Amino acid sequence: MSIDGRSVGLAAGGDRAAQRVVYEALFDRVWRLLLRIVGPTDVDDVTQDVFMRLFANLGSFRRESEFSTWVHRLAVNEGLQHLRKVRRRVVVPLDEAALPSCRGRESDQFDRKEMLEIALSRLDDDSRILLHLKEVEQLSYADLAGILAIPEGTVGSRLNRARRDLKDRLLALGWEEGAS
Amino acid sequence: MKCEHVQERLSEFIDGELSAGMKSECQAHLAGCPDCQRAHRAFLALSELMATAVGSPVGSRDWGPLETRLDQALVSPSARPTAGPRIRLMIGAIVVLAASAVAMIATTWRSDSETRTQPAIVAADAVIDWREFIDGRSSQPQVAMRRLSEKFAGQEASLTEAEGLLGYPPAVNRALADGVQLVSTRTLRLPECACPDGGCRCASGGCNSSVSLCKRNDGSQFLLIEHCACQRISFGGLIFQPDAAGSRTYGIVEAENRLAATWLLANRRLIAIGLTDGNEVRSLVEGTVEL
Repeated sequence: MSIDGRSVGLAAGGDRAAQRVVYEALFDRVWRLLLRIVGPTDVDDVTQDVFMRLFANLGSFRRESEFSTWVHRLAVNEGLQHLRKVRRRVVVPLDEAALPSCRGRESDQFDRKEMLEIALSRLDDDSRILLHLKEVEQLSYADLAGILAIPEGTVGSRLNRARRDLKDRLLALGWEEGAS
Repeated sequence: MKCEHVQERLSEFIDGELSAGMKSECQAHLAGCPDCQRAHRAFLALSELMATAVGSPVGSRDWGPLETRLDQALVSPSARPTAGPRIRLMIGAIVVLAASAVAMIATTWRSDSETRTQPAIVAADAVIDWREFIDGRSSQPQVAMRRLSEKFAGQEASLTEAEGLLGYPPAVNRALADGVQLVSTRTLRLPECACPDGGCRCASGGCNSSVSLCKRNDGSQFLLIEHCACQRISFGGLIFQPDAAGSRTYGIVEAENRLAATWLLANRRLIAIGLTDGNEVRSLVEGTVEL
């Protein structure tokens, strides 16, 4: 997430070219993170909401934290807010039997990527976000604590719980640890 | 160091977040403890799995069309000719939204004035909530079709006529499995097409789309809706679960003992309502190919 301070400053002032530089530099990470939070159906809309909010609030970015931390926190908050909004309405849970790939296929035929997607989708929001930021974005515990607004000392235990939960869900789908 | 202490710190150990002393203690314990070694290997395998699968390049899947759509959506406001000094994006967005709302209301009013037989296009909130056609209609596709037609100026059309209006052959043309018949196709006029100029054939103030009623061998029916991906929509809180058919990802949700699914095809969104099982969903998703 390397964006020079000049581009950020210009973007905060409404410079369209600079906003595009910022957008292009951030898009992949923001989109992937939001895909993990809100899922594929809403990821595009929420990504746009994040960038709208980002440019609207860029002037208030105080540089007290890393820019990347600020952006991640913005995306996490927007994603969770979206989930809260949609879950306030009646949710129709998906019957596990309706997942076509989960049943009736031999585990050795089961695509591991698909298996991982399904297992991740069954984690609680916090665990899913934490795992994504750690395993995909490779962020430090200090960054994770800043983004998720939690004490740094609790990051390890939260990751432990998330990893165990993910492992259990993968094993239930037929994952073999030695064949990752 | 006991097993429970090592396993409590296992994430910190593999993430390189332990002090040198604590790291040495963990290493010493792991060297002689098969249980902790197993737990350690499992976490490493998870990391490897996530790194290879989730961290794969976004371009390797359906990223291209998605990126194009989002680029266009973001770039279009700034690409429009503007008068006066630069203003911040938020202010610009408010102005654009306000102008769009006024233009849409005006268009709707004009449309009603000129052709009284045309049902009014929803103008107040340019977002379609598909939930009302999924939750409460999934077991009655023909009722949903009628309701869609009433709400969005539905017109019966042959596939050729629909293609002439839409600028592309409706996906239903090739998507149906053996034994499934196309009963009826209607063109719809959805509100607000947000596609960039030249991105589709929608005229100002509306979005051309189609809905097809399909019948299985047993007489049961389902709907397939197709509209510009730029059309602003929501699913009213329905939580779609991600899944994949071939290389194409889709969302799936259960409603009224039926399934609804949605996926993107090029610059269009498809929504199927009233499907019976996962195999039918996958068949339909895989069958909708870009021509």
